[in-house]
Order: sequence, then structure tokens, then C-alpha cells
Amino acid sequence: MAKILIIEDDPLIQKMYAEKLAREGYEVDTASDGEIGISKIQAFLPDLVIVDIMMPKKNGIEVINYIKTQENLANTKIIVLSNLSENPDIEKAKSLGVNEYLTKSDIDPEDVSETVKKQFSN
Amino acid sequence: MGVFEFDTIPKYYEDIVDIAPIGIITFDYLENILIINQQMAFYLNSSPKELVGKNIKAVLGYLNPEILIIIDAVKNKTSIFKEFFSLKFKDKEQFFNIKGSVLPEQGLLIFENVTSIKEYQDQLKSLDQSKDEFISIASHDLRTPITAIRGYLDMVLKEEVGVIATPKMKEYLELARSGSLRLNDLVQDILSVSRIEQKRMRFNLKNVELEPVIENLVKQTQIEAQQKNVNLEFIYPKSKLPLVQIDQNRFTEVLANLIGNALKFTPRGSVIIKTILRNDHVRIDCIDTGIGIAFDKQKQVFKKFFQLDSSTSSQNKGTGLGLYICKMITEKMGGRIGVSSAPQKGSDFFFTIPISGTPLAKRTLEIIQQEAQNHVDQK
Repeated sequence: MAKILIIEDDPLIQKMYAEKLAREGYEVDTASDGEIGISKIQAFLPDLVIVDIMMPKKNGIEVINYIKTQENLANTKIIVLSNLSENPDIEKAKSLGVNEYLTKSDIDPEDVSETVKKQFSN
Repeated sequence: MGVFEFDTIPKYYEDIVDIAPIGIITFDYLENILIINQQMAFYLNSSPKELVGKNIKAVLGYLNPEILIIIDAVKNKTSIFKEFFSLKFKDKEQFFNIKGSVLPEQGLLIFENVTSIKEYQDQLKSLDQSKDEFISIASHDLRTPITAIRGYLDMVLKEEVGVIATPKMKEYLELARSGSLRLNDLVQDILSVSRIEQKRMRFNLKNVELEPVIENLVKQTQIEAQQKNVNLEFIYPKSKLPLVQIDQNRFTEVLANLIGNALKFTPRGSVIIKTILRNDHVRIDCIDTGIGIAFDKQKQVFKKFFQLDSSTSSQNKGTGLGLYICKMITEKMGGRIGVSSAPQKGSDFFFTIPISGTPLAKRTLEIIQQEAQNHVDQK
């Protein structure tokens, strides 16, 4: 089954999506900031990363930048999950080439699971 | 010489100059003070008698060296006006609007004390800042827990982690979820309002073909209409509309809001969307056969926090901000919004948008670009 890494600093949100996706059968790991996230990426080698933008230590943009510059992660899919619908960071994330962009306040866990499913069916 | 010979000027003119609650100084081209009134002498903690004949640069220069530039400008026969000019008096700094004018054979400086205005302005700025901070707390710190509440309730209600034991439990969980959805909308709407009011909402105006935009939205909303057994339809214009100048997302937000309201207040019948081509704009109508709005309420519906109190159950109560946001967005895009309605018959909510290339469209684009630029400058 596909491996998913969720990088999200809010424990409630992180647990919500992690357990949802685990129930759907994915192998899920979590990280609570960008720095831990980056270190886990190389160890876990996920097929898909769900990443928040505003996070302590290293933010989501830095994580995306890292993934995009690693040759062995060229096929890693990225879903951005942010709280800010109007931040210039969003434009930055889009310009770096992420697969999907979701705004937390507009979605339910079900939407996340649908979006993930779509990534693997393409 | 002017109209008055020096000798013929009535004595009380001097009194007027003295009594005026602004500082007045005149000086000749050797920089000697000719006239200085009581108020100005008071600012300088001295008296007119002591100051007349003294060098004006020596008298004023220590308060702020830049005042020498003003004096020289007037000496060179240039009028000058400086706002909120700082003068550092012994006890405290004060702010003045300074006007320098050229009179025959002398220069005139007028000092208007605006320290209290400056203080109010600073207070307002700091209040505005704390409001911004509060809004940003609302944005991050309120939204995240709401998202969690909604999400967990959703998973429990879908019985992903076990069966809900009693119908009452299910009912209460559903009520909790609908409450969390309302809270979510409210926070979102408050953020939208604050973004618009602070001119931080960005508008990406493009020349757009309108028909497909409306058609797509109507298609997306079709399920909701069918669930309510209401006929939702877009009457396609007979001849192709010219391109319109809109931010497509914002336009969709407005129309979605109007359709959403129409569906909410239409128990049976239909919601029809149609367009009318006018001189320099297109008008979009959203016409329903719903409960309608009493005439005296019609003007109020676009006001902030207005709610139709009547029989609306608390469950589908809105935030009272939707139509206000629609009005703000429409006006930003260079249009107008309105309603005509008859109680028990239905409502026609309509708004207009500029046709690309018209003077209306160009003017709107200029204003939006100016606001975006101001926003960049502030940063």
C-alpha cells in the first residue's frame, strides 16, 4: 500500500488525517514540523506528502523546496494543506509545482481522502 | 504697495494677529523678525517684545534644523507647506502644519499646532493594528480548532470508528456538526469582510466569457437544488454576450451566494438565472419564487449583520454577512447590486458587471491596481 507522510504542526489536525488515511489502508507516518518532516522524508520515502504551510522551524515552502531538489524524490506527490487562502506563500507553493492545494477550512477528512485517492488513480 | 498703506492699517488688526490661536512670524530679507504674535512667542516661551528684531534662524533653528530650509525657501520667494512638522521644544516635541508665504518685502510663516491631531492619528493607527492582530488570531487560532471539531464529528457521524448507539446520539452529533459548520462560515465571512474593508482582498480582473462561468456554477449547484426539489435553471442569452471584466472567483462567490440564498428561501418552485445586456455592463438576475422580502426590509438586506429573523430556524441561519460581502465585491468590480421582491411571491436579486474595454471597466481596473500598489507600498 502507498506510503503517506503528513507534516502538520497542529496535533488535532495531524491525528485526524493520519487516522482517517490509516483506516483507508495507507501506511501513514507523521511529523509535527518541517524539520522533522524533512528528516522523515529520506527515512520513510513516502509516495505522497501532505504538508501544511505555516509551521515552526522549517515551513511548508522549505519542505516542498527540499522535495523538489532531491533526485530520488522526483515521483513524490505533494498535497498542500493550508489554513491561509490568501497568502503569497500559496502562490509560491503553486509555482513550485504541487499536485493539489487544499484549504483546511473548506474541507472535511473525506475530501482529503478523495484527493489522495485521485493522486494514486492517475 | 498693497491696498493698505502701513499707517492706515487699523490698530485692531495687530490685535487680531495677536489673538489668533496660530503662530505668526514675519521677517525681512536680512532674516530679522518683524512681527511675531503672542501665540508664537508663547510656543517659544518668550514674549513678542523680546523676539522682534532677532535673527529668525537663531530663534527657530534649534527646534528642528530643517526649518532653515523653509525659511530659505520663503527668502527665495517660494511658498511652502509642511504637514506634521516636528519641533522639539524643551519639555516636549510638538507637531505643526507650517505655511510659508511671500509678502512684499518680507516672508511670512504661519504655525498651526496639530499635535493633538497627530496623537489621535497615532492612537487610531495602533487601534487599527490591534484590530488586525485580532483578526489574524481569528484566522489561525480559531479556524484550526473549528476544522478539527468539524472533521472528528464528520468521521463519528459516518460511523467510521463504530456505530452510533441511539438515534438521539445521532441527532445531537448532527446538531453539533451543524453548529460547527455555522461557526466555520462565520469566521470565514468575518475574515472576508476584514480583508475587503482593509483593502487587502486582491482582485484579479480579467476579460472573461461570462456564459460558461454561470453555466458551470449552476451545474455545480444542481444537486443542492434537486435535494430541495427546486428547479434551478440558467436561461442562456439569445445572442452571445461581450467579454466582461471580472475576477472569476469573486464573481462566482457573489453568484453562488445569491443562488444559495434563493434556494434557502424557496420551499418550492424555481430559481432562474438570466442575463441582460446593457450599455456598458451586463446585469445578472437571480429570480426565485420563494418567500420574498417585505418592502421595508429590502434596503437593509445588504447591511452588515442583517438577518431575516422571521421563521428561519437556527440551523440554517446564515452569518448576516453574505449579502454585505456580495455588495462589497460587486462594487469593487465596478458594479451595483440590488433586489426587488414581493412577499410570498419571490425575490429578484441582481448585480451588474462592466463590459471589457468600456470606460467603466478601465476606471475600475485603475482603482484596483492603485489599491494593490498601495498595499505593496505599505509592506
